[in-house]
This record gives sequence, C-alpha cells and structure tokens, in this order.
Amino acid sequence: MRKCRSHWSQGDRERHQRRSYYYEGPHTSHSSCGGRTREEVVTPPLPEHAAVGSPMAMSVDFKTYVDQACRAAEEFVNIYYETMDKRRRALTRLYLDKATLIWNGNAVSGLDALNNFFDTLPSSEFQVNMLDCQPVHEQATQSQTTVLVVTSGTVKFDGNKQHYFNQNFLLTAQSTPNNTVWKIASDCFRFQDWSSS
Amino acid sequence: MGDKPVWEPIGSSFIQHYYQLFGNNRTQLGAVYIDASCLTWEGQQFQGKAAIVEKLSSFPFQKIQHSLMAQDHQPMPDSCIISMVVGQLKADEDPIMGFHQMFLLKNIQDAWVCTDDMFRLALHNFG
Repeated sequence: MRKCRSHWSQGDRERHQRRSYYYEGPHTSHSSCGGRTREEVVTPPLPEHAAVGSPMAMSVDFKTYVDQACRAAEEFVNIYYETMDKRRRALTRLYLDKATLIWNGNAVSGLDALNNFFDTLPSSEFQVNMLDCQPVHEQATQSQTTVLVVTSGTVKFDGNKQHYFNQNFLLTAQSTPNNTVWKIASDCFRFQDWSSS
Repeated sequence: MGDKPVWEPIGSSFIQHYYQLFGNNRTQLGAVYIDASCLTWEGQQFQGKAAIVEKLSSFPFQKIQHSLMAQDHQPMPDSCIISMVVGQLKADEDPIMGFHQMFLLKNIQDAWVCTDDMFRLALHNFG
C-alpha cells in the first residue's frame, strides 16, 4: 500500500492527523471564544485580497487571504459537526435561507425542508479525519467570498452501523466591518462504503 | 417539479469527459482548466493550468481506470456548477482505491471549464 500511495501523494496525510483535534480535547479553536454564541460562525474580517496587480503583490496577499479563509473554514467545520452531534436543532442556523443539501442523492432545499430533514435524521456521532479547503478564485464567483470545503471521516447514526462519509460544503462569507459571518450555501453528503480497506 | 435540472447533464458530461481524458491521455487535461484554476490534490495546492497539468502528468503509472459510484451536481451563484464524485480507481496493477473529487465548473465562452478541483483518496489506514 505504501508503494502505490506514493504515486499519488507527496502530500500531507500526516499533517491531517493533527486536524482531528476537534474531538480530542478542549484545545479546539472555538473553546477560547468564551461568550460567543456558537450558533453562528463568526470570524475576524477577511483581508481584502489584491485584484490582479503585480504578480508578487498578488501572490503575497492571496496567500494571506487563503490562509485566513481556510482557518475560518476549519473553525466552521469544527462547529458544524459539534452542532450536528450535540445541538441538532441549531444546525440550520449555519445554512443560508436558500441553501441546498444533497444527502445521499436526495435533494433538500430551503430552511423549512432542512429543518424537517435534520429533525428526522437520527442522532449522530461524527469523526472527521480529513479536511481540505480552497477559497474560490474571484473569477469564478464575483459576487461573494466563497470557500470550498471537503471533509471525510466516519459517522454513526443511532440505530445504524458506522459509515465512512464524504461531505462537501460551499461556504459564503458575509462581511461587515467588524467581522465575517460564514454560512453554508450548498452541502453535499455521501456515505462512502466502497472505499479502500 | 418539472424538467430535470439543467446543471445535471452539464455536470455529468463534464465528469465523463474528465475521467475519459484522465484514463486515455491525461496530458490533455489542460483543456479543462484555465489560468485561474486551482487544484488541491491530496492536500497539496496547485495554481494555474500549467502547474496543474504538470502535476497530473507527473504520476508514474501507465494505466489508470476510474469507476464512478455516485455523482452529485448543484447549481452555484453566477451560473457555476459544483460536482462531487465518489468512486474507485486502479493504477497499473495496484490495489483498487477509493477516491472522492469535487469540481467547480464555470462556462467561459461556451465551454465548461473547471476553476476549482479537489481530490482525495479514501484511505482508512493512516500512517
């Protein structure tokens, strides 16, 4: 397995071990933000990133922008799965009003439908093992700051066996001068029960 | 509800085209990306068509087959489409591995291109 893995990945799989810090103890990113309500994901304002300018200036600004956007995305994911597991009724506050979810191929659209859906979904225990995020280049979506997030791990729903899952989120940032509020614009969830052993 | 959503056939045609190219001649994959495209491949980021093609051309295997288990397509703001694929792949005589990949598609001058691409193998025995 090690041999063929190297075809694919000079990557960072070891680094990701650290990311499962979510469920390892109190040193998660949100626990230091005492009084903040955890029903919204609010981060410091994102820096304006330079539009197409000199290549050097753009790459420095873009890198900072990427780092900050991805940190916000990680925090979002942390809160999302904790809310899903422990405060399910608050989960739809993390979605935009017109957000869409595809859950194992079933489309759920709009907050009312999302509320019903999450209400009927059995209680869950998520374990996130992997997370990737990528801010969407402004050429693709001129209107808003958008970050793509992909997660994978395992989940056990009450009354069901454990599954591997993949999920991807499109997060949009609503910026005010003082902070940035992140919400899910679209969400896609699939069990992956045919992956490598 | 009405007609099938328009983004589904677009997304699935792109997917089919992408994996066909990947399997037959991955050096040609540059055609689906633009200079502003960004790829995250197993956690590493590659920016721009040239860097992406270089990465995709660098794999040492001769033969690669993909088997797509499921795909989902959703519309995005600014008429973009987001497509998620889960499946299995086999490189040369290596064991079959699971993977998932996500594409963000945009229509530029009547062609659908990929502006963002994120790929991960589904490996459950880390380290």
